[in-house]
Amino acid sequence: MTTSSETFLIIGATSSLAQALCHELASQGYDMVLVGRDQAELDLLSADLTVRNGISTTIVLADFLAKDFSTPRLIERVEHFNHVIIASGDMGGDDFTDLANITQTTWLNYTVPAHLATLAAERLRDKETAGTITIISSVAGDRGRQSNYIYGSAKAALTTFTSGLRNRYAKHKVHVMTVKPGFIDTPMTWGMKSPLIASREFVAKKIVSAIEKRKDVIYVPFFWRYIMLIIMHIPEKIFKKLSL
Amino acid sequence: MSKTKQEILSGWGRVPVADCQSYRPERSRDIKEIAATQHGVIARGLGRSYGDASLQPHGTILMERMNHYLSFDKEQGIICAQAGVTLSELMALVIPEGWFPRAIPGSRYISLGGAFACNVHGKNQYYGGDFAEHVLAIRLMLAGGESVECSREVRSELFWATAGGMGMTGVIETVTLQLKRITTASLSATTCRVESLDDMIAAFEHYREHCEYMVGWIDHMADGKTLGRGVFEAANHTTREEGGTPLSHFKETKPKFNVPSFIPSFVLNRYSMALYNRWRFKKYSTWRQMETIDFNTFFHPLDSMGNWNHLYGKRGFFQYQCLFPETPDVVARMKTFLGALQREKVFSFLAVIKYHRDGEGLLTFSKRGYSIALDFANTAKVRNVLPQLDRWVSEQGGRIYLAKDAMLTPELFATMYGPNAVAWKEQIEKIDPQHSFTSLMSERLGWKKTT
Repeated sequence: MTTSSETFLIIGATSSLAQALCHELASQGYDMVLVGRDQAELDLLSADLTVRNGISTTIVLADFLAKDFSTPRLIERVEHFNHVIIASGDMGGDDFTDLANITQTTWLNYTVPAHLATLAAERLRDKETAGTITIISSVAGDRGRQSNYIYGSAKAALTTFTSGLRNRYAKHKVHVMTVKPGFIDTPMTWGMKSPLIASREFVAKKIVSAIEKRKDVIYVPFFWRYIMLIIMHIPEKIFKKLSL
Repeated sequence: MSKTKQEILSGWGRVPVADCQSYRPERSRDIKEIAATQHGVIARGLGRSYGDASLQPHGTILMERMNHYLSFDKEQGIICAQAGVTLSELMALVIPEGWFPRAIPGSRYISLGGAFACNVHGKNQYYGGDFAEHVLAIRLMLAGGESVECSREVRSELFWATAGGMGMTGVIETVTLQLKRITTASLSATTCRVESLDDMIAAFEHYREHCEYMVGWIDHMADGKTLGRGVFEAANHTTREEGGTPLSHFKETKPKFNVPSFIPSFVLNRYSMALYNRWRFKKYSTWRQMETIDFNTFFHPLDSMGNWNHLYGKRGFFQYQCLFPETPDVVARMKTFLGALQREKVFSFLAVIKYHRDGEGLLTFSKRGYSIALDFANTAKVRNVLPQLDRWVSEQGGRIYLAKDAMLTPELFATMYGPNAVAWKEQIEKIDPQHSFTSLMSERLGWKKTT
């Protein structure tokens, strides 16, 4: 990935972390296709990338919750890309007894990302040049916790999916990377009292460098691997009584 | 609903401090939601106003993530950016393209929104005016959540109530700035030592016809005949013909070191200050010294030291900038002022003098005359003396700079800013009748109370 004329397709481009990823990629001269649901926010991000880095981006508007939304049509609308980052997602509502909430949370965090990744992998498979697919999952998918297990289980499914996708396309020139971010300084963690919150810029740099190194599964910052290792090894008998 | 964080905040002077519920919006609709539902909030940029202007315990809106550029016209030198963009990053972007902000205050770590809300000025105020004079338009989020564009032509009353309006009209979302052309990243500066305040003012009077930037530094420990002695600097942009650093060489520099937060309060005492000031004075000769210097050295000497506000220790300090209208006896009045401070034994580590012309806008600090900026450690004596100074400045027809203020009373504010203040207060009452936008400053000065 030394030539800089390659194009990244960023799904969920206006999310806080994705914006930092866009700036990191722009500073390295990559072109980008930005996918999101808010035209004004996409325009703003695109203008900012142009002014700061002199690059032009393409905007594709897509609302995953719209009645006429279709994953194949979204991928078809993107003319050209070599790399994909799927950063879309949603924490979901608080009512875990509500079927509509569970359906929507699963749709946004698993179904749509998984299908988009599959369609993208098929497109990239037939290309001459090597491609990458990066999927932002979450440490919340490593073990279910009472506060966010609907979101967590959707992310767990997504993590498992990425492992299968990586396996399936390993013989082709399509590399799949799973990213499990810990706490990042975004609106989601604003006000949280934790010394472990990492800056967006740091996390973005780590992710882009991991893509270039073709890593398989990364935790960012790295120490989350060990935190999650401990959490995953707490016996269920004890874990079920904890409020983590 | 946007998440909030409870945190202890202060202005750059570290006094007063307040336990604030802070919001950190990332999208325009986050601000809309706050403006539409909250009463008693204030926008805060980089928190570089010195006193309580950016503090509101009920809701302080941190604008740091509203930092996107919307456009940069490299032909016309017009840049439009969100209010959270800093002057430092803007300079790094526009200088290599041959453009330069027309008003640059003493720190570049300020937000564009804050610069407009305080209508800041620089060493060229007498030549280039205040910050707002070069702002073509702003976008403002009003109470209730309506976002409007305003300029000299469109909603001009709103525009001028917001320029220098200390955040009382709403949240500034974007600023469109007219830049000026430069051809090199250097200044041609003349520096000389002046032996008294008379010499200092004579230098200002001489150079104002020839130079775009002027600033004087006063050795505040010198008294008697040498009262007001110091170093005078004047500068112009270096043209390409005269040499100077190529534009492309300009880099955004980071502070060379950070002042630690644990510096004990006694480090800056009158003796260490006297030593420093004496050394600085002796460094220069009375001969004019011409040199080519870079922007950061001339405009932002203090920015090379990260957290220089920690120098005064935990107690914090007061910045005090007052303006003396240009009258025939202005020198005598400034001498009385400086002499009175010395009699009270309150000394300033840095004392800076600048020349101003009349500013545009209602609450704008600038008026034809000289301003003196001082900083005082937060001690009981200083807290006692400052109100007396305010009264005295007001009696002289002077005024003090709100961006630096933490102590002024409503009565003296009214006297200093006169009929403009009355007009402005009527305006903000009309624009924000529910008092959605208030700060500790607005409560102290009786502009608006949080209901």
